[in-house]
Amino acid sequence: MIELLAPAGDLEKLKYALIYGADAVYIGGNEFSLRARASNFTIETIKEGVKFAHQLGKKVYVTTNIIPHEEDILGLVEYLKALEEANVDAIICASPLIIKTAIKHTNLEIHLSTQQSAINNHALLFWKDYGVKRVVLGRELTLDEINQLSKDLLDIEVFIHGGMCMSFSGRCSLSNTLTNRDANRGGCAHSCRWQYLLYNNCKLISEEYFSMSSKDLMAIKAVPKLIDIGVKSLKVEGRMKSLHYIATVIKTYRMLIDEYLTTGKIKDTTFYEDEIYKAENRLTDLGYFDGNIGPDKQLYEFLGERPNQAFIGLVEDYNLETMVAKIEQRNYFKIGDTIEVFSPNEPNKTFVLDNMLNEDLEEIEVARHAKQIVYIKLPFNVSKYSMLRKVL
Amino acid sequence: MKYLITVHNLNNLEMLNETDGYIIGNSLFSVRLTNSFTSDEINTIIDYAKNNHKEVYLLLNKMFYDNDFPLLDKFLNEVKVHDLTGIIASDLGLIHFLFSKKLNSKIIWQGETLSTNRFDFNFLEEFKINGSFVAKEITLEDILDIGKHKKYKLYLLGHGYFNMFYSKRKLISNFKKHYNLDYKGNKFGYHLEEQVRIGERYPILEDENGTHVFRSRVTNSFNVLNELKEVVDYFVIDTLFKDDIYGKNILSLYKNGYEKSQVESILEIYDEKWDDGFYTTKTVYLKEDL
Repeated sequence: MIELLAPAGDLEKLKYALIYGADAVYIGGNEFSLRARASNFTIETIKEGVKFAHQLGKKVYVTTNIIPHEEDILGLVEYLKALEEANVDAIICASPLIIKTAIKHTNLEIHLSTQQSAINNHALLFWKDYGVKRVVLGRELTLDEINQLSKDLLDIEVFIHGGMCMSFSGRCSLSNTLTNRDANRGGCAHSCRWQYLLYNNCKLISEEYFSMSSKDLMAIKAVPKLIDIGVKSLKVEGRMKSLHYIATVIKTYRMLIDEYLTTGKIKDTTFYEDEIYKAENRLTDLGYFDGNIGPDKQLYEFLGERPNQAFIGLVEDYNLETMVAKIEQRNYFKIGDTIEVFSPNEPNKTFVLDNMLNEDLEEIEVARHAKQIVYIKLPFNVSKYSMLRKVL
Repeated sequence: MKYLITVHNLNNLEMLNETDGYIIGNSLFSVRLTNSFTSDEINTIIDYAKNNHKEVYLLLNKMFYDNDFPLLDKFLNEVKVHDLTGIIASDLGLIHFLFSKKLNSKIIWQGETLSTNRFDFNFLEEFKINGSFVAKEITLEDILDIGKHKKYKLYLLGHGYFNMFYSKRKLISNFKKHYNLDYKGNKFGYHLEEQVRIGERYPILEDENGTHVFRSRVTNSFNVLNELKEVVDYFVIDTLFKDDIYGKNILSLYKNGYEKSQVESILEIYDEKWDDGFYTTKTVYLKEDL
C-alpha cells in the first residue's frame, strides 16, 4: 500500500497530520537533525507522538540526518538507543557513521535521506548492501528515470510536495560560506534565495535579479504515475510549515490518492490544486518530474512569500447539543465573514458568521487576538481538529 | 605530500612538470572542468605521464543517472583505464559501478561536503579503494584529526576556487531566456554579486551538466602547509577560471616556497583575492533556535 508521509515540526502538527490522513510522519529530535528550528521533539514528546501514531495504526520516523563533524558525535549511541526505546518506526540518516552506529547498537529500521542524492540503480544497490531499508530519492529525477529504478531492491520514497533545494541536496555549502551556518548540520540560511546580480567580464548584464530560487514542488499530476511505478512512500516537505498548511496539503493528497486507488483515475486535478492553494503561498510546479528544467521552473520577480490570511481558527471543542464550537483564533475575522469549515474526513462546508462570544460569553463583533478563545454557534456539526478559513 | 593539478591544454603538460600528477576529465562525465578532453587526448596524456613518471587522475565528478553508465562503460573501454593512477568519483552509485569493473584500487571518493569526520572519511575502506577527499568546508583541526585516523590516502583540495553549489538546472541560460537577453558572454567570465556583499564576486559557471557557484575568494593553503604535510597525501590545485601559466606559478610557490612578490604579481594579473577558506573558520551546528 502506498504511504503518504507528512512533516511534523511539533506534537500538535504530528497529531493533525495523522488525523488529516497521513500514514506516517517524520519528525526531528533535538539532536542530529537538520531543520534545527523545526526540531523541538524531546525523547518524551517523541514517545508521546509514537504512542498517538501507533494507536491509529500509523508510523513515526525520526530524522537523524546531519553530516556530523567529529565533535558532534558525542551521545549518538545513547540517542539512537533512546529512539529505539521510544518505539520509533525508522530513522532517516545521511551519514554512514550514523547508519553504521544504528546498525551496530540498535535494531532501528534505516531510511537513507535525500541528502545523499541517490538517483541511480547503482546507488540503490550500494545502500541496500550497506543496510538501508528505504531510500529517499534525490529530487532531480524525471518520472521515467524513477520508473527505471528497481523497486525490488528496497523501498523508494519520493518527495511530492514542498520546497526544493536548487542544488543537489547535501552538496551545497552556500550557507556555510556566506553565513558560517552549516547547511548539513541544520543551519541552512537559504542563501540561494537571496538577491544576486549577474555579471560577465565584470559587466552587469541585467538590472534584474538573478534567480537561484525554485518554485515549490506540487506533484498532483504525477501522483498516479508514481503509484503505478511502485513507489512506496509519497513525502511532503515542510517541517517548519504551519498547522493549516500541513492539514490542507495532507488532506488534499489523501483524497487524491484515495480517489486514484478506488477508481483508477483522477476525475478533476483542478479541484485538488485549488484545495492546495488555500494554504500554499509559493508558486508551484511539477519539479523535475516532467523533464523540463527551463526558466518556468524558477521564481524570478516573485521571491517573497504571500501572507495567507485564510486560516482563522481551530475547533478546540464542539457541543453536539447546542451546536456551539469552541474556537482558538489564528487570524483576524469578524461577523459577516464567509467561513469555510475544513475537517479531516468530511467535505468542506461554508457559512456566514452571524454570532460570536468571547471567553466571558459576551457578544463580540471581531476576533482580533492571536489564540483568543471564542464561541460560535454553527449551522452544522463539526468535530475536534476541524479548522476555519475565511473565504477571500 | 604529492601535488596534483588540473590541465587546460594538452600542449602544456611539460610546463606543469613540477606537478606529481594531472587531473583531467571529459564533460560527459565531469563538471567544473578546465578543459574537456576526448578519450584520444586522455590516452595521450596518460602516455606522456607514463613516460615522464607522472600520475594521471580521471575526474568523474558529475551526479550520474542510469542512462550515463552505458556511455561511461564505452568511454572507459576507450581510455587506458589500467594506466590511470586514479578515478575521482563524486557519486556513490558511480563507485558501485566501478566496483563492478574491479577498479576499486583506483577509486578516490570525492564527496564534496560529506567527509567531515573520521568514520565518513574512511567508510569505503572495506572496499579497498585508493583514498578519499576531506570535505571542503572543515577546519584545519578537523582535517588533521581525520588525517591522524586515515585508513587510506587523504586527498585535499588545497588551492583554487572552491565550488559551493551544484544544480542540475542551467541557471544562466534560464535567466537569459526568462528576460529575453540576447547576450553571449564568456562562459568562464560570469560572476554573481549579492546585494549586501558588494565587491565580493562569486564566479558562476554553467556547463553541460548544470550550474556551479564558487566562493568569491581563492582558497590558498600557504599558512597551513606545514601542518597539512603531516597528514595529506595528495594536495590538489584547481586552476579553473585561470590558465596553465597560473598553474605553473602556483605549483612553484607550493613546491619551492612562498614568494611574496610573486604572489602579489599573481593577485594583480589574475585580479583575484585569496583567503584561508575554512581552515580557521568554524561553521555552526544549529541545535536550537537562532
